[in-house]
Amino acid sequence: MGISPIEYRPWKGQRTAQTLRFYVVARNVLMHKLRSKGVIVILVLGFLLVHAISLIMIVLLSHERLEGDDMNSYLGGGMFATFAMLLAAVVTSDLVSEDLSNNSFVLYFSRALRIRDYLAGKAGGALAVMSFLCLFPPIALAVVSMATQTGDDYLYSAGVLGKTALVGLLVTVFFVPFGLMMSSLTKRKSYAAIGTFMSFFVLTLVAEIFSEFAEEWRMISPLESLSFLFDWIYEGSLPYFVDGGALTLILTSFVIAPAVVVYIRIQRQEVGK
Amino acid sequence: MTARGYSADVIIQARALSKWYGQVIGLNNFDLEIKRGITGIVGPNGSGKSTFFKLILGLIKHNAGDIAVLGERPWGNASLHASIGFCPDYESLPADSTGREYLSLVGRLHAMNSTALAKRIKEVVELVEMGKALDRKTGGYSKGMKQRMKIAGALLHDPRLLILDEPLSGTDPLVRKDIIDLIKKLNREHGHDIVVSSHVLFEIERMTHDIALIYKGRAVASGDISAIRDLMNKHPHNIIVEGKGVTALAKMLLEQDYIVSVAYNNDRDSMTVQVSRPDDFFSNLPNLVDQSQCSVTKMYSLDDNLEAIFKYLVGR
Repeated sequence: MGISPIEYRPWKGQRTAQTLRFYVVARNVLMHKLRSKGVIVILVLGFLLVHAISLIMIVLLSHERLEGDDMNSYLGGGMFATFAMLLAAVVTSDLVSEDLSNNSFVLYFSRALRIRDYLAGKAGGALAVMSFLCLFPPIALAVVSMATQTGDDYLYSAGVLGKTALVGLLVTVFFVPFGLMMSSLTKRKSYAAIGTFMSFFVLTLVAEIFSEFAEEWRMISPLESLSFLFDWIYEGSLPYFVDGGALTLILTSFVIAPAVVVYIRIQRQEVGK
Repeated sequence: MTARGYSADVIIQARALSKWYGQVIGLNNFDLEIKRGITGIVGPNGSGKSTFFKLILGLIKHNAGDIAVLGERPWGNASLHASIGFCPDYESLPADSTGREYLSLVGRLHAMNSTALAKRIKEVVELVEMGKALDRKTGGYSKGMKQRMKIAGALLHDPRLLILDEPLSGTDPLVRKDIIDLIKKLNREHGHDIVVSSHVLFEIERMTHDIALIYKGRAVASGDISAIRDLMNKHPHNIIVEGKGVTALAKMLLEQDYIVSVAYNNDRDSMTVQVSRPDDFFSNLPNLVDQSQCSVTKMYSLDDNLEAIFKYLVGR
């Protein structure tokens, strides 16, 4: 295994810093995930169980226009959010934990990539995968519904389509920061995946138990709070026990707090102060 | 970001540099000037070598003093990484990626496009002789293969400055010789300035005569290796050799005039060799291994001798 003399010509390309280098990380995550059997299985199951049935119903049943109520029952039934949660747990589980386990942070941070770029890349890749289940199918379904509607109130239908895009986007974003946080707390991706899923499951159980005493507790369940959010977006109203400000605060904290934790965790543990 | 007052010939300059982690001091009032060519950083484990490298790369921020790398301050200066290639001392390859995937990611992080990148990957893996293993998962690589792939990753964007942290650690003698030859070639034929660390002085000596000795966070000596070597040669040097059939090698070693003693450790697969002239030992070992038909899997020097020299240098 000796080093034999070869024709070696140094690379003469451009060596500038790249401002959108996080895109490279995101692309790498996306390509990696699209080859993962676990991710493909959840995407296929999710598409069949959540989207395909609704799609068939829309095509078969005559409808005058795209209705918010229909989209709310399709997306707010619990199955959609459950699959989104499951997919997020699988997609995000190894994003940081594998780098912790392999000491691969230096691969990124010794190459003109800052923590924010690294996290944006990892999150961007995960969001791209999530969008295959949470964003594009609902939009496609809404478009199909508009294309097959019998009435001519396309403006109203377009409004519902916009709301659907918003709902899809919010669900796509909602679970990823929490999953990244769990991934940054362990070197084992299985722990991260189970931790993400179980954290949401436990919150749902706690909400269930305490809602016997006060119904406001239902808001701490991620699935319930998403369901309330869908009501708010599609129907413009919330259940009597849900305060709009409190719901916004809870949903925002599910996204912002984990993102801050994972940033601090990487900065303190792997890069230095 | 450019640091003033540094000579063009100096690639790294640290002035009164200090870094501490809470109560632990990583570097303490550290002064060092590294010029072009190959420079060896030698120090026992925990002496501050890795901290120094992290500061060079701008991965951590210094608490006091000043550091300039290629005339620029590294902290918060991400664009400087375009001119530096880093090979860490620990395993840092993504285990579930192939060598090609790893190098592709590294290349894209350096803004290399696909056509140029594919060509460059081919060149670099030929240089480090990893062409056949390029499409295998890095998790299945041997220690030597991982070191080569890490060096390939550091080389890929053709940086002016290569930082190699313990590139020989854990490798067998033949791979060690190949990597030493590669490092020399990268400087001599391709013009890379190289800073290479080791806790074994004699490994560094085979690559360069310009060294800096680090001990307990301070640069205790720097310059030509010969003066340090004279000091070292007054003390026998202990080297552990492990592998299958080393008994035959032991017999051949005992016939050499630079061998003081050979002693088996817990079993007959491991022995401690005490040598008076380590350079002769390291030069002749590949031939002796070949002649004795043994299989050496691991070889490393003990720190104690080097530690004694460091204590002498710091006047303790």
